[in-house]
Amino acid sequence: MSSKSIWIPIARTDDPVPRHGKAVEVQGEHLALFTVEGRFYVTSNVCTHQFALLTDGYVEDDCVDCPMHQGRFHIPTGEVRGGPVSKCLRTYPVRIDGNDICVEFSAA
Amino acid sequence: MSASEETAARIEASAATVRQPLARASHVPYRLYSDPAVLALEKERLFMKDWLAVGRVEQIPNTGDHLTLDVFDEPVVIARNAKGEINAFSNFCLHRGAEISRKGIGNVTEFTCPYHNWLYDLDGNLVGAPHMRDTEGFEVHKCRLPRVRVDTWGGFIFINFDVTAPPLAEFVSVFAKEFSFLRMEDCAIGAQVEFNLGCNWKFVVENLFDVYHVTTIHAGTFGKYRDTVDYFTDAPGQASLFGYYKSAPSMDSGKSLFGHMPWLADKPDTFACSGFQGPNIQMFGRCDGVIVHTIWPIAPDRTRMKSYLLFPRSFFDDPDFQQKADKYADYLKKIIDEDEAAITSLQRAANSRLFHPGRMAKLEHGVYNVLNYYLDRIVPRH
Repeated sequence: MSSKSIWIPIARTDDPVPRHGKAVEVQGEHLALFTVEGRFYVTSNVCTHQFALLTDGYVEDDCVDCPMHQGRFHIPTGEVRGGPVSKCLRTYPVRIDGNDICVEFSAA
Repeated sequence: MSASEETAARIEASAATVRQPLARASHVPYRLYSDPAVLALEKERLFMKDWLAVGRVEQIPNTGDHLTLDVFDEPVVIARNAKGEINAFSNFCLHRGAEISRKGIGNVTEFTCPYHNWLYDLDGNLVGAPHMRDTEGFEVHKCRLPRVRVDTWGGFIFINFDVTAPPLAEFVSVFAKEFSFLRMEDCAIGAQVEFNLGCNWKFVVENLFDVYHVTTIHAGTFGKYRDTVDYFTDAPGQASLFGYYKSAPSMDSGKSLFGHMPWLADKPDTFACSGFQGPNIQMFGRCDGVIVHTIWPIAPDRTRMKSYLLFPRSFFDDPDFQQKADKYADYLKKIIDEDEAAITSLQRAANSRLFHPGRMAKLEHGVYNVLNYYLDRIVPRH
């Protein structure tokens, strides 16, 4: 863990996460909160292909499809699973502090 | 009788003036050069059936390089994919028809329609479309832009809009057999010039094969170097449009700035040849390079000529190569400028009710041959 990184609460565990993810902005960054099989995951919310928010797209099982050109990313790892995308999606470590869902965020 | 059949019948009647021995021939009625219905028939019977040279392979050497063109109102993209293959497809989005690629030469990793962001790969396949999930029966991966046939010969990229046309290799076989010794595939574009001429495309084609005007209009340029002889033959078919004669490298001084093409080392400095490949390619070979003109009708009285000045790739190592190649281009511009005033005045004669085309001179053998070749394609002889 980098000394510059901090854990930032982004949602509460008792807030329902919409089926296709929840858009969260942290320090100007677009992040997406997803649940897959009861676990929370946070990724960048911006497609690595062209600008589009993944939370405007569609979650199927453990993948999210970009609404723009159907680039498909694996939510837990950010890996590309289909579509015209070549670059993986950034993922962020998540931890639960009491009722807070926190994401490890590098301020740098 | 349909409108196009009526036009064909009128052309056939006009053809009579050149469908006889040269010594008895006259120029054809100028309605053939001014009537929009004639151009429409030429489009259907020539340009939409034949292979058309639209560029050179060295213009798009890398993955994602592409040419974006309008060919007879058909917007076309020619792109090289990651496998190195060249594909041609329509330049309109499958959704509303917006252009997906801007005119000219460029490089992209994919084509994004600027209107609604539909995305295409370098082969013209639709790979993504925003917010179409609720559109029933729409499957992105089953959609592709209409393909246009594409192939290459002599370093040129040819396209064809007719799915039933014979392969390019067959189409160019006679020309290829005659002129393979020029090795145009081992040349590259040293310079390119585009001319916009205010006359019918056939006036341009005829002019390039007209020996008769060379010592008058071009007295101050290449007329000095070229022998005024009829070098065209009465050979059947396309061979009647091939010729060999004596001239000089296409330079003011009549002297090459580069020396001979390596594969023409045994030819004299005065070596000159010319050839026609229908519908619109005219080639002029010299000891030191090849100039290829492609002639494109824009309107009955407007023509665009794209000229490629080709030189062997080894010449490109010359540190002054571009400066020298540009001199060849300047000289070509000077020559076509000399022609322009005359051939555009022909177009004005076409609009006069008092003008009746005159008799042909023996030195117009090339004009006579190319006119007959063209007419036989538009209105075949019975």
